[in-house]
Amino acid sequence: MTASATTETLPAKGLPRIGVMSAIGLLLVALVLVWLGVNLAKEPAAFASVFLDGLTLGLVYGLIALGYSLVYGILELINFAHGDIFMLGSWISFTIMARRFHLGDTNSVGKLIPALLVTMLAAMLFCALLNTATERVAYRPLSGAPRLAPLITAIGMSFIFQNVGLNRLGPAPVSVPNVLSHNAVFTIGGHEYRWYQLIVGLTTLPVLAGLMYLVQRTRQGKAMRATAQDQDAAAMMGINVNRTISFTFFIAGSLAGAAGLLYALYTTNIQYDQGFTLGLIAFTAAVLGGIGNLPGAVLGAVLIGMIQQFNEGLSWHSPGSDWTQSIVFSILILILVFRPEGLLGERTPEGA
Amino acid sequence: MTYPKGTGGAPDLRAIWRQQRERWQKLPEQTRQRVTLAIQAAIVIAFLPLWWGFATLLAIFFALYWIPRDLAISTPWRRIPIRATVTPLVALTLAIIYPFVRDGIDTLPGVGPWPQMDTAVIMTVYAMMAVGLNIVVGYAGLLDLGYVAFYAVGAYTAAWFASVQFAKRNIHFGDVGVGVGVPGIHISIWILILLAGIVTAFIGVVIGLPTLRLRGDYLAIVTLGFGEILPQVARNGDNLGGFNLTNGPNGITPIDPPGFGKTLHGATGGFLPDNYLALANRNNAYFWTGLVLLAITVFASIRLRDSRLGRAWIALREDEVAAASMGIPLVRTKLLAYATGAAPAPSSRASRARRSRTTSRSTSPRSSSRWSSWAGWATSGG
Repeated sequence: MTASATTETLPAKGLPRIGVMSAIGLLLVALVLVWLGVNLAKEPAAFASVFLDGLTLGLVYGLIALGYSLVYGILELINFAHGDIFMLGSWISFTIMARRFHLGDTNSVGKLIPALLVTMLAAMLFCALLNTATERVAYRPLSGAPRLAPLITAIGMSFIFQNVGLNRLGPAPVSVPNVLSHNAVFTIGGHEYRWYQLIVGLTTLPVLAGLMYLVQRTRQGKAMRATAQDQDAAAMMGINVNRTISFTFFIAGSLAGAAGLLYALYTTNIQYDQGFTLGLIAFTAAVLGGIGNLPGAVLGAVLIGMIQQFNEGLSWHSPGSDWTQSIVFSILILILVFRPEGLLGERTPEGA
Repeated sequence: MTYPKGTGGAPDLRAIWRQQRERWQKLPEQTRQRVTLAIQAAIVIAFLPLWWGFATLLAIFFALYWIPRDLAISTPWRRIPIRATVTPLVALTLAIIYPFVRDGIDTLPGVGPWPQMDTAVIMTVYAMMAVGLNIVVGYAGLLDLGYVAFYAVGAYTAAWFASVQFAKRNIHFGDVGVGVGVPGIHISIWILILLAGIVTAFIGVVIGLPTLRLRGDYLAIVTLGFGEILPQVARNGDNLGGFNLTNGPNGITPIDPPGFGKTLHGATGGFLPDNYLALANRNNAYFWTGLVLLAITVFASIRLRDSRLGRAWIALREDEVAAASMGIPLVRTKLLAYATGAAPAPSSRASRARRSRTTSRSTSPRSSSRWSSWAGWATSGG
C-alpha cells in the first residue's frame, strides 16, 4: 500500500501523460453513461427489462468469473482450462437431465426439483474433480518453472477439453429442452421477465453466499487466504499448501459445474466452444472487478452481463450483437491499460 | 507459483530416469558410441523394407549426428562449424527436392502418405509464422496470444492491394495476369510482401503501445483480447459506416496470381515463372517461394538474435528491471520486438492469400484458436 502511495506522489518520469490517460478513461465512462441515460429516457420499460436480463446473465457469468478469481488469487495463474471445464459441466448436466431423468419441456414439480438438484450436484462434483485433476497433472509439476509455462499448459488443457467436448457434443449447437418454465413472472411495459430467468438468477445467490462464507469464515477459507498472500509463510505456519491449492481448484471447478448447468438452462443451447468465449468474458469480468477479489469478480460479471445485454437490447445507437465480443474485449484492454488493479482490487506489480 | 518439494507416494520417475542416465554416462565413450550406432542402424534397417523413404531420411539425420561437434573449416576470416552449417543445408536440400520425390516415396509409418504439395506450402507458411512468434515470445519474452491477428492483417493488406475490392480505383503496378481494364488496386506481390510487413509492423506497434506497461499474463490476456477483436472487425467489416472494407464473412476473392512477369521470365530463360496460376505444377512453385521466404525469415531471425537489438530483447526477457537499469530503452526495444515479430506473419499470409486466391476471416470458431499451436511450436523450438 505504501509503495503505491509513494509512486503516485512521485513525478511519474517513465510513464508520462498519466493525467491525459485518466482523462481519456473518464471521458469514455462519461460517454457510456450518456448513452445509457438517453436510452433510459427514451424507453424506460425496455431499459428496465434489459437491465434485469443483464443482471441474470451477469450472475451466471459471476459463477465462472469467481473460478478464475479464486485460482488467480492463490496461484497467480490464469486457468484457461476453466472455461472449458464449465463447458463440460454444461455437457454433463445436459446428459444427466435429458438422458437420465428424461426432463422435457414440461415436467411435474415433484420430479423436476430432485432431478435438478441431483444434476447440479453431479455436475459440480464432476467439474470439481476434473479441475483438481487438471491442477495435479498440468500445473503442479510445473511449480518451479517460469510463470509462462503453466499458462501455456493451461491453454493446452483448454484445447484438450474443447476436443473432448467436440467429441461428445459434436460440432453443431445442441439444444437443451426448456426444463424451466418460460412463462412470464411479471411484465414491464410489454417486456416479459420469465420464470427460468428468475430461477437461474436466484440459484446463483446461495452459491455465492456459501462461497463467501467458506472463504471469509471457515478454517479452510483462512488457509486459502493465507496461501494466496504468501505461500512460504503459510507453509511455515503449518498450512498444507498443496492441499489448499487442490481445494481451491475443487471449489472453482464446482462453481464451473454449477455455472454449466445454469447456463444450459438459461440459454437452452450448448456448444463445444462456448467455454472459450465465455471463459474470456468471465475472465474480463474478473479483471474488471479486480482479479483475486471475490466480490469484485461478481460485480465485474454483473457489469459485463449488463453491458452485453444493453448492447444487444437497447435501440438507440447500440452497436448490436455483432460487436458484443469486441466491446467486451475492448473493456478488458481499457481496464488493463487505465486501471490494471480493477474496480475493487489493489495494485500488483504485474499490471502497474 | 511454488510448491514445496516432494509429491506424495507416487514413484519418483525423475529419480529413476536420473539413475539410469548416470549408469549410461559411466560407460566408456567407445562403448556408448557403438551402442548408439547399433541402435540407429537397427532402426534404419527395420524401417527400410516397408518405408524406405522414411528410412533414408532417418539415415541422413543419423549421419549428421555423427559429425563431431567441434569439426570446423578454418578460413582466413572465420571458422565455419560444419555441424551448424551442414544440418540446415541438408534440410534445405531435402526440402527443395521434396516436390520431385514426393510421388515416388511410400507412406510415413503411422501417419499415412507424405504431405501433399499444398499441405507443404501451408507448412512453410506456418513455419514462417512460428519464426515470427519466436521473436516476440522466444527472444523478447512477450507472450503474444493475438499473433493470429497479424496474420489476418497481412492477408487483408495483400487482398486490398491485389484484388477488385476497391473497384473505384484503378491502379496497376507490376501485376501479373490481370487485364488492364480490371478495376481495383493491383500491385506486384513482391512489393506487397514488404508492404504487408510494414503495415503489420505498424499494427504491431499500435497493439504494443497500450500493453507496454503490462507484463506476463496480463500482457497475454490483452493480446488475446486483440486477437478476438480483430477477427470480429474483419467479420463485420463489410459495413463499417457504409464502407465495405473486408467484404465480411465471404472474404475478398479472387486475389491476383503471383508471378515475376514476362520480362523477368524471359531474362532468366524461363526459370522464374511468369504467372504462378498458369503453371501446371503451381503448388511446387508456391512451395519453393515459401521456402525462399522461410529461409530469409530464419536467416534474418538468427542475425537479429545476435545483433545488439536481439541481445537487448533477451536481456529484457530475463529481467526487465535489470535490463532497464543497464540502459536498455524498454519502450523502443519492446515495440521493435512487436514490429519485427509481426513482420513475417503477413508476408507468409500474403503468399498464402495469393495461393488460395481468397482472403477471408474463416467463420469457423476453431480458426481463432490456431495461435495456441503456433505458441506450442515456438516454445518447443526454444
